[in-house]
Amino acid sequence: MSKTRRTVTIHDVARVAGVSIATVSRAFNNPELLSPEARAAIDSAVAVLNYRPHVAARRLRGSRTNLILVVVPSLNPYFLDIFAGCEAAAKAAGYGVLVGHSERDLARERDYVEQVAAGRADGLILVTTVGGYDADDISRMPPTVIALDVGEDTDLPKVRIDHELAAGMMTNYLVDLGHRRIAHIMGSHGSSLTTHRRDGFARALAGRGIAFDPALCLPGDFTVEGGAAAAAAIVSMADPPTAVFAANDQTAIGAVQMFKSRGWRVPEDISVVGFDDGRLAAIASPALSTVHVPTHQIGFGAIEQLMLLLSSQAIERDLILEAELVVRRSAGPPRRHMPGASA
Amino acid sequence: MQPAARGRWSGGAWPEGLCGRMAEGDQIGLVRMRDVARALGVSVSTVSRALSQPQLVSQDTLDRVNAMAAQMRFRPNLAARDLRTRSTRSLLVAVPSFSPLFLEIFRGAEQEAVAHGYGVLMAHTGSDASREHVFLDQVLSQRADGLVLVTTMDPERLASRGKSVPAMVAALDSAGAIGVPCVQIDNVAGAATAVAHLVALGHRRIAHIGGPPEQSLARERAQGFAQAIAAAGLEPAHCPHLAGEFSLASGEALMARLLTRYPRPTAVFAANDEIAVGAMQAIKRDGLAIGQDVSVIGYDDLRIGLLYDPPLTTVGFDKVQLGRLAIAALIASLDGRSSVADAILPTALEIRGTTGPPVEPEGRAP
Repeated sequence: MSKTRRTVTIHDVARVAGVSIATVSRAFNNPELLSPEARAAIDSAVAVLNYRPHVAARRLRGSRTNLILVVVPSLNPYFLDIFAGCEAAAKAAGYGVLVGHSERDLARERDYVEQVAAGRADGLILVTTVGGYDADDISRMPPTVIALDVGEDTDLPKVRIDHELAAGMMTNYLVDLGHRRIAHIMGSHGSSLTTHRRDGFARALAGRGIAFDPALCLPGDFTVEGGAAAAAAIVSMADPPTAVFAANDQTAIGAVQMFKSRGWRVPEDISVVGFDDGRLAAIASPALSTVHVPTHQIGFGAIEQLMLLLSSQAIERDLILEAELVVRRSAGPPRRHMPGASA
Repeated sequence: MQPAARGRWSGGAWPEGLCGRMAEGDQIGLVRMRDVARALGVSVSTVSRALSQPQLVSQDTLDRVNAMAAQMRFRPNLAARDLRTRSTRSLLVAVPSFSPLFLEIFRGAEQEAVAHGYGVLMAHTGSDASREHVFLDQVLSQRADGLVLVTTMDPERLASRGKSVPAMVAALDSAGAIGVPCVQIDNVAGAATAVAHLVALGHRRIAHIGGPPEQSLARERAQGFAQAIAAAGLEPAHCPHLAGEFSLASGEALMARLLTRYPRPTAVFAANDEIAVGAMQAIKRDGLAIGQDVSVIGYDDLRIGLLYDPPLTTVGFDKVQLGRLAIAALIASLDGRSSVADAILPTALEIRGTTGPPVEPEGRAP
C-alpha cells in the first residue's frame, strides 16, 4: 500500500463522473435512490480512479459500519452453528458479521464490548457471557443481544432456550426408563449453562421423589477429556449409577469412550445421554440420545432482535425457543447388576 | 414456556441511550477527553499525551490522569484514533467455512496475534469469492491492519486486483501467486503418502472421494492420489475418483455409490476427515467392517476422526503452527521487515484403526 501517493477522494470521483459530491455519497449509502445512468457513471469513475470510501472516516461522521460482532466463548463448531444463524439474518438485513473469540475470559469479552462501543461495529451478539453486566455497565454498552444462555443477573436482551427445563426433560426421560441412580457430569465452572443444566437435573429428580446424591454430581468442563475423567471415577464407584446425564455431547462422548474401554457396554451396562445435539451426536457409537438445541434459529433470532434494537423498535427482551429431546441409541432400561459389582 | 416478565424493559422499546448511540459519533461513552482535563485542571493535550505517549509526562501526572480517566469511565474514541494513527491493531483471518480445520488455524493465528499485541477477528467467506474481496476492501479501508486469507475460491480474480491488494498473507494456498507471503502444506505429497500406505497394505482397488474441484485443497489432494496410483501401476478403472463437497453428507452419499460398484473398492482415500467419517457411516450401514472390508484414510487430522469408533487413519499437519506462521508473516510485513521465505509445513500419516490389509471374501480378487 503506497501512502506517498495522493489519496483519491470523493471529489475526484464526482469530477470524473460529472456528478455532484452528494450524488457520489448517495451511491455508496443509498444506491437505490440513483438513476441507472448516474450509477453507471459513478461505478466506472470508481473503477478508473480505484477509489475506496474511507470506512473509518465514514464511521466518524456518524454513519453505521454495517457490521455486527459475534463473540463466541470457544472455537467449538457448536457455537459457530449459532454464528451461521447470525450470518444468515445479518446478510438479509444488509450487515456483515465478524467473529471474536473470548475463551470465556472476562477481560477479552469486555475488550470486544469496548471495541464495539468505540464504533468499530454497530452491534454485538454475545454467545453466552461471563460478563455479569449490571445496570451501570449496560448503560454504557453498545446495542447487545445475548444468544443461547445468560446468568440471572444480567438485564441484556436475550434469545435462548430454557436450559433448566430441557435438562429436566432429559432427566425425566431417564427416570421413565427406570433409572433411579443417575449421575450428572457438569460443565465448566462459572458458566451459566453449567448451573442451569445442573439445576434442571436436580429439580427433576426432586420432582420424581428421588433424593439428590451430591456424590453423583461430578465435575466436568464440556470436553471429551473431562467426560472421560468423570466416567473413570464412575467406573471405580462401589455403587455406580445406572445412567449418566452429561452436560454436553462432548462430555457424553468422552464418557462413552471411557466406559467402552473398561468393558462396559452402552446402553446395556450403563446409559449415557448428552445435551446440544452437535455434529458428533448422530455419528457417535452408539448414536447419542441428547437435547436438540436450535442453534441456527437462536443465532438468526438474536440478529433479528438486534436489528430491532438498532432501529429503536420494541424488542422481545427474553425470547425463549423450544429445545427437544432426541432419542437415539445410547440410553435404555437399567441393568439389574452392574459389571464388577458382586451379584 | 413463557418469557420471564422481569426487568425494566419487558415488552417496551429499548431505553434512550442504548439505541441510536452509534449515530452520535465521538459522543460515545459521553465522557470526552476535555471533561477529564477539566476535572483535573490540566490541558487537553496533557491528558492526550498521558494516554498515548506516557513517557512524555511525569509519573505523578500519569497517575492522576489514569485515575481520573478510570473514575470517569473515559473511553478513547477508537474510530477517531484509527483515523489519526492509520492503525487499528486489529487483524482479520478470512476462512471459507467453519470446519474445525479452519478453527484450529484461527486458534494458532489468535495466539500469535495476541502475543504481538494485536486483536484478531474471524471473517467467514462461505467459499464465496466476492466475500473474499469484501474483506480485502475492509483492510484497504483501514478497518483492520491486515488479513490472512485461508484459501481463495478464485485466484484469477485476486490476481486481477493488480496493485490494490492490502497487507495480507495467504494460508493453505498461494492465493493466485499475487506475490503475497504464503504459508502452505504439501497437499500432493501428503495424499501420495496416504495412498502409498494403502498400496503397501496390499490394496489394488483404491477409490478417492474428493472435495470440490474448484478448491485448490481438493485439486492438489486428488493430484497426489492420481500420482500414487500411477506410481504403483494400479489399474485406473479400478481406482475411481468421485468429487463432492468437504462434508459428512457428501462423504456418505459418494461412499454409498462406491459400495454398489463391482468389483467393490477395498480402500478409500478421502480428501478430508469429514468426508471420511461420512464414508464410514455408509460402510457401517451396509454391515461392512471398517479396516477389513473397506479401509479408510482421511486428511487434516480433525477431532471428529480421532473420536470416531474406530479412530480414523489420516494425514495430519500442525494446524495451529500454520496459523501462527501466517500471522507472524503478516506482522513482519506490517512492520516493514523483509518478508521471510514462504513456509511449507510437513504432513505426517497418523495410522490408527481404519486401515488394514484387504479382505477378499471370494478368495481371489476379480
